[in-house]
Amino acid sequence: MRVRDINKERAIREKALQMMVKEGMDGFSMQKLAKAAAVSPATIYIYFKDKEDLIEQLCIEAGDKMMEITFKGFAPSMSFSEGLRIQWVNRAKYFMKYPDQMHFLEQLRHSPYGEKLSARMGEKFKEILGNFMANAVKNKELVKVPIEVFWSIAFAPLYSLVKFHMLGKSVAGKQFTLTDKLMNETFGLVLKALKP
Amino acid sequence: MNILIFKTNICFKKDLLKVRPLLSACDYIIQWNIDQHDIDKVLRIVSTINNPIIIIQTITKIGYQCEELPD
Repeated sequence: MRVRDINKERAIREKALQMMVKEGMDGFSMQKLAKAAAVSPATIYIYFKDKEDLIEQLCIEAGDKMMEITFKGFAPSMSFSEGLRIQWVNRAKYFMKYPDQMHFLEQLRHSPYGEKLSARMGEKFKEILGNFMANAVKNKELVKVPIEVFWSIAFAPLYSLVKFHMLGKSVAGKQFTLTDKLMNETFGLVLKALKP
Repeated sequence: MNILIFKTNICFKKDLLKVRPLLSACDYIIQWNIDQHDIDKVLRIVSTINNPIIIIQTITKIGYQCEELPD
């Protein structure tokens, strides 16, 4: 009798994610995973039907986790500066706490699984951010721009800083640490750029 | 619910076409799939009964290999 063991499943999921981030999805196989996780291939098949199923499950988990953290304490009805600040703090936290998951989601976006991912997350993100933007425009706190332009100005600066921070260095190899002061300063500039 | 895992040589679509009606006809099988990308061509069965022997007999009867993959 094969019994499901939540701890074992967790260990397999974590190892699979690590491997895919490190070695890419094409070279990944259930047999390699079994070796790396020191379990028999049969054990992996107890939890997952095949490689596609495993990737889909990981995609769902990573996507849900990202949404949960990103929108924690956030409501589309918030004032623009308050709502955006919460998003910044949450997104930075997610990126720093779960770098593997973040990279995995990034990989998925450029893979055949990208469509499934955007079907699951894209709509919800668009809805929540769309409402938030509409409120802010109505309250004259935000210029009216397409969501892509909004995203690029609102979040890309944060992601650049966090990436520099994770690397420990910035442009031309200069040492870099992201401090609260720097983050607030950048956030101020972003607000300024988005004000009508 | 029992999950049974087997190593097989059900490699190609033509093989799958032979196996499909047999497995689909078993009322104790709730769900099954074969991972044809895997080297072991793993047959995974979700079944109401825990009896791997019946499955092995069903598959080997039509000329394919089928053995339980050990934990």
